[in-house]
Amino acid sequence: MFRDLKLGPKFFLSLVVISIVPLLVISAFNYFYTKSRLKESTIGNLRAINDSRAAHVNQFIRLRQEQAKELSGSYMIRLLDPQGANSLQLTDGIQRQVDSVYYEIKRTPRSDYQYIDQASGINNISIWDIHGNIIADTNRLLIGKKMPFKFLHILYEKGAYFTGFEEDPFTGEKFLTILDGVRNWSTEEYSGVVLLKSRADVLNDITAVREGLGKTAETYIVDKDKQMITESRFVKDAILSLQVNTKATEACFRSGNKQGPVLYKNYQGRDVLGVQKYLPDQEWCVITEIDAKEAFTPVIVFRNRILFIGGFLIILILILVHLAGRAFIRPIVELRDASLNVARGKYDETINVDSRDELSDLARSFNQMAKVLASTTAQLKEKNKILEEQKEELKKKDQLKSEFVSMVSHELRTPMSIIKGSLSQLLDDSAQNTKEIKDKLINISLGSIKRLTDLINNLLDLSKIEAGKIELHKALVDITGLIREICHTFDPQAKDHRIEMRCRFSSEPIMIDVDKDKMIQIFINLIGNSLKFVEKGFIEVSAKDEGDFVQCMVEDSGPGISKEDLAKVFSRFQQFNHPLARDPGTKGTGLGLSISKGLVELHGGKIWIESEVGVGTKFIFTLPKRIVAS
Amino acid sequence: MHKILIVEDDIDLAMVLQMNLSSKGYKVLVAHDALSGTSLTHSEMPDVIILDINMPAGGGLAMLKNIKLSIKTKIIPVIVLSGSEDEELIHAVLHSGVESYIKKPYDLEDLCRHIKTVLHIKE
Repeated sequence: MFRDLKLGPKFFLSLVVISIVPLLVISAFNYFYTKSRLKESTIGNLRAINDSRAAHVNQFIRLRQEQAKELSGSYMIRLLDPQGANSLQLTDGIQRQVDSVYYEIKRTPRSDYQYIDQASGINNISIWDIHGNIIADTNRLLIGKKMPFKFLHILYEKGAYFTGFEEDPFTGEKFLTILDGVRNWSTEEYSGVVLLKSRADVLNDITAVREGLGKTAETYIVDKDKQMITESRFVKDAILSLQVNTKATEACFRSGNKQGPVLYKNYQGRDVLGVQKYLPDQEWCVITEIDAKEAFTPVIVFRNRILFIGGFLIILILILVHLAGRAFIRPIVELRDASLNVARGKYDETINVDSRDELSDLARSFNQMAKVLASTTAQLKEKNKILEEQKEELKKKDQLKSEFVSMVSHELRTPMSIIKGSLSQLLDDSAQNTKEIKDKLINISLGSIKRLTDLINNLLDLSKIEAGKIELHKALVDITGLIREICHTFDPQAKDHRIEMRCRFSSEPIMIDVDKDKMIQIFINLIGNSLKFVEKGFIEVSAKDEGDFVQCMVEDSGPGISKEDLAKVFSRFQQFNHPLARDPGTKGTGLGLSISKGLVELHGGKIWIESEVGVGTKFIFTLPKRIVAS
Repeated sequence: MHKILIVEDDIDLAMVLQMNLSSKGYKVLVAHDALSGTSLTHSEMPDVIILDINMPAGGGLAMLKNIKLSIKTKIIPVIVLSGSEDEELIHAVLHSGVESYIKKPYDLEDLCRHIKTVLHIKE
């Protein structure tokens, strides 16, 4: 899967994994660590508050007990008769003392527990004789009433003790009652009871102090019947009417002050963090709880912060990784594209190099490579082209050569046929060959042999000229004198055919640096050619000084050459059997004009032909003078 | 007496051929170019034509085709006399209905055998 990815995604994924995974691990670790620390500290905080509230409750109860003991130990109250035979004088005295103590307590609260006394105080003090008759009470209306005396049994067993919540049988009001037994001064027998009554919600003043408890935290007290005996922060009139059946109360009453559950559902079914304290004397449980949501608010804030910062970091990382990836991948992609281009034969597209790292080194060397490749390829192409051209040229030459060979063989075969045919005829005894016929056959054969010889000589000349192997023996020659000589040699022939042979040039000699023999050969070829075709009229040979060069011309009044044939005049083995030709039997070799052309060009000159059918032909050639005679 | 038409642009060779065949007892006609050769063929209706295929401007092949395309003359056997090495030309000649092909320089006995053979076939 990963292997199939392109380089870009690969690089991106790798960097993302490398950078984001540690970030996630660190964040998660931080989150859980912080959460657990926060939980611990919250619990610690709750425990401190819980302890303090429990201590307050204890102190409050103890204070009441001390106050009760103070009264029960006072001289006048200890005068109470164990049989209940108390004088009116005594009960009046006790009543006065109760009033005075009540007044005292109300007026001067203990400074240490100021808020307790000020807020709650004691609502009622009551003294009972041994039969349960009220002999003194801050509520005077109750004096003389008889109470159901169930407290005594507890008293005998435990001494001074609080009674819990009792309902006043007369007023129906609920009181937190604390009582202490009274022992007779002399007999030490139980002779009565002192009761201190407080409002039922007196403890609420302690638990309702919510300093350091935040918005949802509360402290409440549950008695052994799991009845709430302080107000709830959330439920109205909860005292003695709200049953608290939670894991916390259960654990508290079952195992006392052992560490109970920390995270549980409270009486409202909400998730809370809580601590409990068991008060064994009162068999109460003091519980302090805080809504888990609130408790963990800092964790959530912390978590959100981590998510926010983490998210921001991740986005930042993604962007940076993307940019970094592009910076790394782009040159590679460019290299790939460039190499594809090179593979397709496009060498001119180079890679832009704008940095100094290894990749750009690679790109630079790639560019260089492409450049070298391009020039090498261009050279190869050029060379190939040249080779191709040379090949074509060779092919052409080869073809020309084979054509030439074929032509030569043809030119050889005809004279050979003549010789062979003549000899066969001469050898044939049955044929009645006259002397005249025999002579003719022999002459024809000799002519053919001459033709063959001429042909071979001409071929050799031509091949020498074409191979550039001919040597010119140059010397200063007066061209006018030369022409005059040549004309003289042709005079008899011309006279035979009644043709006028003319030479035309200025009287001044024209000096020219040429090979004399080759010049003669050229003129003989050209004049001989004319002689073959001219039937009547003239052949004129002329030379003209043109400054840098000399222009020579052989003009005749022959039949002329058609335009199509003009182009072929200088080709090898080109012979024209013009119907008007004077002597069709005079066979040339077909190489004379080719040789003339080659010789003129060898001298650095030019040769051309001008002709009109029915008028005549002009062979014209120029020769550079090189050295001019003074 | 059989009539033989020689079409040969080389005057010397034509003459030698004429002498050769005359002394073998044939009546010999001579033409030096394709044009006169063709006209002689039509006017004289020779029994055999000996044709030099290498005449100027492709005249030999032109005349051969002319003879072999004409209903009147196509029955006349043609012996081609050739000095050419041009394979294309040789191929064209051999595929134009020619009866015999002899390379220059010809052997007289050989030529006579060919003439007799084509005459025999014709008859």
